[in-house]
Amino acid sequence: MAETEFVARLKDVTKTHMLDKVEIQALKGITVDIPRNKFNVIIGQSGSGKSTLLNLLGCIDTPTSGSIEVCGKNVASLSDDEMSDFRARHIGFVFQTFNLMPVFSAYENVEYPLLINKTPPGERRERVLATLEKVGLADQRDKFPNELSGGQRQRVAIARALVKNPEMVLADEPTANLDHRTGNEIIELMQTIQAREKTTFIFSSHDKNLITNAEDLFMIMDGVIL
Amino acid sequence: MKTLRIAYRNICRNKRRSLMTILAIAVSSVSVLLFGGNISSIIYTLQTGYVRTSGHIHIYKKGYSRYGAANPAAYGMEDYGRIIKLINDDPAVKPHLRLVMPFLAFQGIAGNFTADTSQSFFGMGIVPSLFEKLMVWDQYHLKVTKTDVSIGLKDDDLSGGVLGYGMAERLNLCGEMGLTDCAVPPAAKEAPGGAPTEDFSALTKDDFPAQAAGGAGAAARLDLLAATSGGAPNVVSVELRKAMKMGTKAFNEGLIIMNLDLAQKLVSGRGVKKVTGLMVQLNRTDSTELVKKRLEQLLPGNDYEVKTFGEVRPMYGQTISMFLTIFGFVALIMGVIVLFTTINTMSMSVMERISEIGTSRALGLRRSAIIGQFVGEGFLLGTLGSTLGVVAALAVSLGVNLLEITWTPPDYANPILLSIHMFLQPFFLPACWLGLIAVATLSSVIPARNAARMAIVDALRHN
Repeated sequence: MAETEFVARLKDVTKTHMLDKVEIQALKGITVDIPRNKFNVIIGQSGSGKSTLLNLLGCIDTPTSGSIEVCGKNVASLSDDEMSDFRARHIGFVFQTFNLMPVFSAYENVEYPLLINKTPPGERRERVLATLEKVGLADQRDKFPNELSGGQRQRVAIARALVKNPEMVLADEPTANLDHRTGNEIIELMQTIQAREKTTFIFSSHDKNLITNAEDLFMIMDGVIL
Repeated sequence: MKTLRIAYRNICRNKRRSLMTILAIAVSSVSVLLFGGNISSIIYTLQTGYVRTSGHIHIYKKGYSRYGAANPAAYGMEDYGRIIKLINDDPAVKPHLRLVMPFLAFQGIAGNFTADTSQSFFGMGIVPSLFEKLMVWDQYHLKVTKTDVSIGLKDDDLSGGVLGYGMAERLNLCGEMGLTDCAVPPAAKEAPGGAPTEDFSALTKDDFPAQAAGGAGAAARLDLLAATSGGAPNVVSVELRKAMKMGTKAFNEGLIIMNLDLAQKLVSGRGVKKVTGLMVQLNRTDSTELVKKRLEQLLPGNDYEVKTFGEVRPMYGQTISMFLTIFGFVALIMGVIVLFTTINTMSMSVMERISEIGTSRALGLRRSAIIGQFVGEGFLLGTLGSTLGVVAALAVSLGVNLLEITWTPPDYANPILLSIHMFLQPFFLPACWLGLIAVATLSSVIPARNAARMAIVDALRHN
């Protein structure tokens, strides 16, 4: 895949969905280029369309119209399985509510994307341990999510997003469920990793701390990028 | 392996629900296995009973099975000795053959004139040594009854006979034969005109002078009256060696077994000795059709007919069909219970894990892998339930077989052992085990497909 300066490019993208029988236009013809290897933040009020935009960038939703190019690939033409494989290789996710698998230990949660990727066992173990070390949870690897604090869970989620060396990590309000101090720690951690590994981060957030640390800021209002 | 480990952890999340599902599958498994094992037992017991009393194959003179009952003399076999030799010497039949025995079936009236009783009877002339061998055939190693099956006749005992226990009771022979558990008949009023001054035994005194004389130590006896092949009445006396508990009520209350020579003396008189047919008993039932075909080639088609025991006794096939239909119905009900229980459990599981499904899909798991995860859980539930059911069914069947519980089937005179045999049909137990696993696995496909079809964004929103 050719390396370009943009990790994602959207052109005239609209997204309409139905709420009961009412048609809601979440995105109204967005054209935007998201730079590669940056700490990008999308801000906007609730209902402004930032999560919808993030979903389209993460290839977990499809636009009503317009074209989307992610990591140099026009994703609109991909089948469901191809889209799954694409996400498995190129995109990491960090969710607001952590979304860890409760029956997996911290180690297994981080290992999960590599199992999906069919990474060989030896390499898998090496990468999981290295990533857990990176997020400071090497000593907690056998604990299950319900045995970890909120901050630790989000660290596991970050490790899970990073372990496959994705081209971009999408984080939908990653600090919203954390207290202020823990939220700051998480932001610092992600900044450190981004600076060291040059991974593209795209956040949606209200968090002032996150906004002030953004390299590129995208403001969305009523389905339009300002 | 990893999928199964994950499946195991997932089914452990709601232990009570999973346990109930496993128990429902296990109970279904136990029901199907015990019922099937009992039916299997009944069918093979029935087969063993038929083969022990009449062999696997009957050979008659052509037309006997259709017209012989009305005119047995016309359809009797004269050259049976030659045919027995032909069968015994045939190299294709020999490896499968256990014995060939001539028999003579007839009807008549039996009288115990010391007690002024008489009744009609079915007579069966046999070769005692061959009949004893016939009666101990045991391909399936079944313990059918607790009673002794030996008839206690010898080949050279030309005047002896054995009758059904019920018949001995009806003819008031219990005292004479020393039978202890007989019902005592109420005192009967003497018939008008009194008892006959002479009985049939007077007609037999030329043939059996010692018996006719009676006296101390004489065995209990019956006088048998039957029509000869020429249509004339004939009488012989039979000394009763034993009263046996015969299988069916009709036999128990009306059958007399005797040496073939005695039967021929009664039926043929001083004419040509004939038999009704030949009983062929094989080592194994599964070679019946093969041997039948060979015998049809061996014997001239226009002179003889060859019938399997299933053809001679159509009730055997009808009984099997009836039991298999009932079993199929029970198995279907159990399968439906497993189906709905598993669908319900897996649907609940999907509902509780919508967010996880969305997360897995977002991380790149394909729809097919989501289906695989849930189907894996259904498979595991099915395997645990079905295996538990097999173990429980084996334990129950062992207990039932050891307890030697008896029951009396319809139209049977005596109880037989209630037994459960799950290994008589080699594929029965594995088929039930795998069948319930398959039902549980397939039941989880519907919820699994629903899980896989969810929109990722909707699933992620579901917290």
